[in-house]
Amino acid sequence: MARSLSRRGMLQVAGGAAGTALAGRFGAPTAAAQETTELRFAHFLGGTQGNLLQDALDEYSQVNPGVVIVSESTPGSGWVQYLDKVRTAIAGGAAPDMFMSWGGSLGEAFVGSDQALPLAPYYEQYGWTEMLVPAAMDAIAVDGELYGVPVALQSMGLWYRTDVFAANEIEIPQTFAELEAAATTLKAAGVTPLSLGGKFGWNVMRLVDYFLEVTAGPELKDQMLALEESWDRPEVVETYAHLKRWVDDEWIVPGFLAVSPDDARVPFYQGQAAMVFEGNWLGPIIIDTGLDTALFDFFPPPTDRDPLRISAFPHQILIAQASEQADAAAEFLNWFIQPEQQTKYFDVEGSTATLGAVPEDDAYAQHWQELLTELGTYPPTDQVFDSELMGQFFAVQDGIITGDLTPEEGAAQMEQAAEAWRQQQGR
Amino acid sequence: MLHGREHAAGPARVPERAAVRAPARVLPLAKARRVATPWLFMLPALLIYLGFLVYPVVSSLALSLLRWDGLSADRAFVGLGNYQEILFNDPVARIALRNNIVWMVATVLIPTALGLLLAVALNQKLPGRNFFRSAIYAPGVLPLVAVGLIWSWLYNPTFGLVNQVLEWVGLGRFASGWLGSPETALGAVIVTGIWQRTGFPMLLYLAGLQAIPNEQYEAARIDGAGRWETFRAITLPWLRPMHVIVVALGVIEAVKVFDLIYSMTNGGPAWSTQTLATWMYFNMFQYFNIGYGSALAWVIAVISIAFAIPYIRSMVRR
Repeated sequence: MARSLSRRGMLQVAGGAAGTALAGRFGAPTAAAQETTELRFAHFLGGTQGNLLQDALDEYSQVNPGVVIVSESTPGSGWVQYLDKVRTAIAGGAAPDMFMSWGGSLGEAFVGSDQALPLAPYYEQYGWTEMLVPAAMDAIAVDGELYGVPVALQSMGLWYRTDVFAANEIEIPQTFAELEAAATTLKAAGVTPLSLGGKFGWNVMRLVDYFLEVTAGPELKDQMLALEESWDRPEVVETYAHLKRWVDDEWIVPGFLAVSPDDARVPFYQGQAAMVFEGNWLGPIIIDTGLDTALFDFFPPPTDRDPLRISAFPHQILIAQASEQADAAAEFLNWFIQPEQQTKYFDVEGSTATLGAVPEDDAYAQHWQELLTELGTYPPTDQVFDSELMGQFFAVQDGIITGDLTPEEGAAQMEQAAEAWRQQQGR
Repeated sequence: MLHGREHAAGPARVPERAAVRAPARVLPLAKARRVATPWLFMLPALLIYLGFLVYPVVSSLALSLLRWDGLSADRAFVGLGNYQEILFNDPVARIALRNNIVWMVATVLIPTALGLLLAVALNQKLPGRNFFRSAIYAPGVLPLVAVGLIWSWLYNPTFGLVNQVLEWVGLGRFASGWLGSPETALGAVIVTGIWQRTGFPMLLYLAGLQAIPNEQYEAARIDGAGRWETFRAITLPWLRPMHVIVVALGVIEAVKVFDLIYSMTNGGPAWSTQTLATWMYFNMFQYFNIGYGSALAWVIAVISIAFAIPYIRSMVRR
């Protein structure tokens, strides 16, 4: 029989419900909860890479009953949206236990704000220094201290369609002039030489970084990235002039500025574009998506400089300073970077920072490894500059492409931004 | 709510109940309870309101007076310096404000006019009108980020449907990288915004149209009024409450537009599609200028209020 509820009764019910809810949230944990350690792991891997990482996390839970690693992925935009999410989570008091990051300025931001745990004790406890590639550790170190564990040393170059190059009798370019000659031949044959996605800026930045390596050379370029030399100089003007010419001659897919980097690969996969500026991670993607590997290969972009350098950067996993389960997180990291796991789950990143873990039957991986051994490397600008200065860099880059800025104006505007940054940093 | 006994007593008990409520006969404890009870009922909602609305608002106002990266302990008080920078020294903020105004004019006027026309059309007894009502309203319930991604693919310069359709109909010379050019990017996103927003005013106007008494139209017909006179003298005035809601919400949404811009152009190319909300986001979450971003948030709030309140007051007074 239906009964009307008095006000007092309703308050009692509401209070009881609230009490029950609070007890459930803050009260003593159940036996099941006590037995399970849950680690939150933020990263930016999606698609086949994300699925393979999930397999690794599941395997870790199987061999370590009672440990569950919850994957929190933000794929698709590179660092642009992913790092925003991690920073917001940390600032909001909901830091993940572990999070993936890049090296350089992108990783240092967490160190400078005291949000990343120094890992020296774990390096000593597990002997990580002996099992990791020294260059990878150097690339993530901040003032000589290690706050993360490198899990990949990514390198980039020009991936190309072997069938398109062969059809147009193009050999792998050995000089910058040969690369431009190849682009001319391809365009005349009705194939767009290069596909880029300019939506977040960093995909086009790879080409600008390369042009700067060509025009300024390794030494001067490194000084400019350190803001020790002016950006308002002929080498930068020439860099932007190259960019403008590649756009105007339609050597880059027209309208690429608002295309996402993932979508920019589509014309390449379809053979409408002959090249993309991507890294070693594209190999596993080509294999896992069932594309014919005979149609895709890569080469280091020629710079006419000695040493020849390619763009390379690390990926690392950091433990949040706020994590209450740092030991459990370090235990997982130790398991994950062992050669056995790194070989088995190599395609998660398409590279590894663990010594002796490159699969011998992976031709792409072996070739990248050779390049890393033989050539020098330079960091992508977005892992050197602070994000606000990087915003200026992207805006100038866009301005050159749209024609709103001349190369001379672009160089002057970059120097203006660099100078403002120097002053802000008291340099 | 009356209990059964009170119903049984009927009107004869009314004077007696009035006497019971006389102040002289209320015990202090009962009076306190009577005062406290509504507050107790309101308390959960009030706590949520204070915690999740009032506190963040006050907190963001305080943050807007600081220079702070949002993570470190190092905070510097800069007074109104952030506001001064926004108003006088920030070229991107000026681009953003201009874009907000363009967005406001386009996405308030066009969806409102279209929504009104569609509502009038779909208020008639037409075959399939429920289908059309649902189809036109459907984009309004889709997540804006999903809408942005779908339209980004439509606009894709290589495989997008928009350029392909232009090729099919012989207008291939107009094919363009719509989102990649500063000349067309904002317009292209605005088209998406109009497509997404038109269903909402249509729905409100449909509700308003169905509340208009039919006698009004019959009287107008008897008086010999034509369609336009009827629309102008009866339909539009009766829809005035809907105009207030549609325009006020449209203006507020336009000032804080974020999702479509963020998902379709990320504010580019060369900051040409930045709006105040996306510029606030860039400063807060990419550049770690928490104080500057908070100041931008307050600029957005003040502009929203400045546009919305006078309009609502003037419409309500009529």
